[in-house]
Amino acid sequence: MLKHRIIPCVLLKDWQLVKSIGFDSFRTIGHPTSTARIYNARNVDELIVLDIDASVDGEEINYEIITDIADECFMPLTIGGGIKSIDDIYAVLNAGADKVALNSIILEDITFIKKASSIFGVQCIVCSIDVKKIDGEYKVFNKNRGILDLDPVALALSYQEYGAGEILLTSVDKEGSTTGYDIGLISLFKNRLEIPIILNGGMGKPEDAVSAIQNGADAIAAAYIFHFSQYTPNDIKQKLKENHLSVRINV
Amino acid sequence: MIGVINLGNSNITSLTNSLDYLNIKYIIIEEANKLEQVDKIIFPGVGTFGNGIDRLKKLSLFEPIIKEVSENKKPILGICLGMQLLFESSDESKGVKGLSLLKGQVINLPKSINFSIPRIGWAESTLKFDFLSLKEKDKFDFYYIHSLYVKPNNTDIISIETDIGITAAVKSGHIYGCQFHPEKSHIMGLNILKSFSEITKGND
Repeated sequence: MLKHRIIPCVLLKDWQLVKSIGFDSFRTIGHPTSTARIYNARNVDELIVLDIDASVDGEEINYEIITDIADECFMPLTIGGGIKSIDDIYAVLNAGADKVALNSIILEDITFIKKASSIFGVQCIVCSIDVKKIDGEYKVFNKNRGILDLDPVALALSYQEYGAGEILLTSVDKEGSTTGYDIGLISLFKNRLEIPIILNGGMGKPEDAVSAIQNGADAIAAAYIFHFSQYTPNDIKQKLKENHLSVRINV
Repeated sequence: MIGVINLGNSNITSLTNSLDYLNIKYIIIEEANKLEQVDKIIFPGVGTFGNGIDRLKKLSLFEPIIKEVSENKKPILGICLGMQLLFESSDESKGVKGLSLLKGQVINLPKSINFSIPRIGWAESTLKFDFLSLKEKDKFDFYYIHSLYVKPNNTDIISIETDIGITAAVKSGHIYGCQFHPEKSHIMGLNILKSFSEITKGND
């Protein structure tokens, strides 16, 4: 039985790690390497870093910082933001990432997933979907293109068919809110995909992780709670364990 | 000195970061003549079986690795795809012949309610007999990320199993392989790398 993963998901902006609120305003978390070191010491299951400067058209990926983060990271590291080519993936992996998160590029060209996964293996390819609720319906959102008339579940199923290894599902509305995960959203995905879903956005207390997993998430990502609350990753794991969900407790 | 095989498409930096942290000396192997200078080999890998063998052949490392391990008895530790490539063939790339240092096939993970495929995450792993640093305590959590696993002809070489009888690690004389990622499994994994760095030829 696989353990449910607790994954800090942080953003890289102007050489700092930040946490966004609803994809809009930002709060600084700290220096990338010291933050990675703390996560390493806290024995978290995995780390996701999204380079939001690079995801703006024409900007280069910040390989220097990725290398610094990877140096401190003896756990799986996923890097996303601004990946536009197979060469970018080679470069990010060489900088020390284990997986890449793809978003804008696969909305433009879904066959890129197949191309990438045939070279790097499906396990290396995390397909990221951002979702916003509009008039009671969940729609795919892209920060360069706005709201798209795409159903998130249908999109995730296509990504899976094209060779995605995992889906990183982020609720833009819940992101940074600390009001809990979007349970309505994850419930739509329950038992629909064969690949794991990492649910992101909204965790404010350990109980939120319990309901996310009970409603279909394989893993949960969060940031706010680890930096601006009293809870540690281990508190969340203890809560999951109390609820008979399988987690990796520190050795 | 340890040689780390660089296929060019693998997570070699994760591994070298771990070796640096542990103060283990190594060189990167991208050509055959460097392979002669090392006394131990770590073979990491990410990607497909076919692509991995293809890159080994392009780097002219395919035959030299076989020679160094089978004739010169240099210890080797294959990690993830690197372990799979030690075997004869894989469901992932039919018709491609592996290094065949170990007898057996790489097969698709069975469908299971225990995991999705690819099987990604931390899983409890049961020690069947000593594997490098792992002794006595019989259950450990390691980080896995894979869609296939090895099925050795000789099941006695399986030293760690995970989930529903999935091979997690093998040891056959001086040939070691692990499906999980020691370089991504915090301290339990780092200890495995340290222990491999400390074995000496003929003392395995």
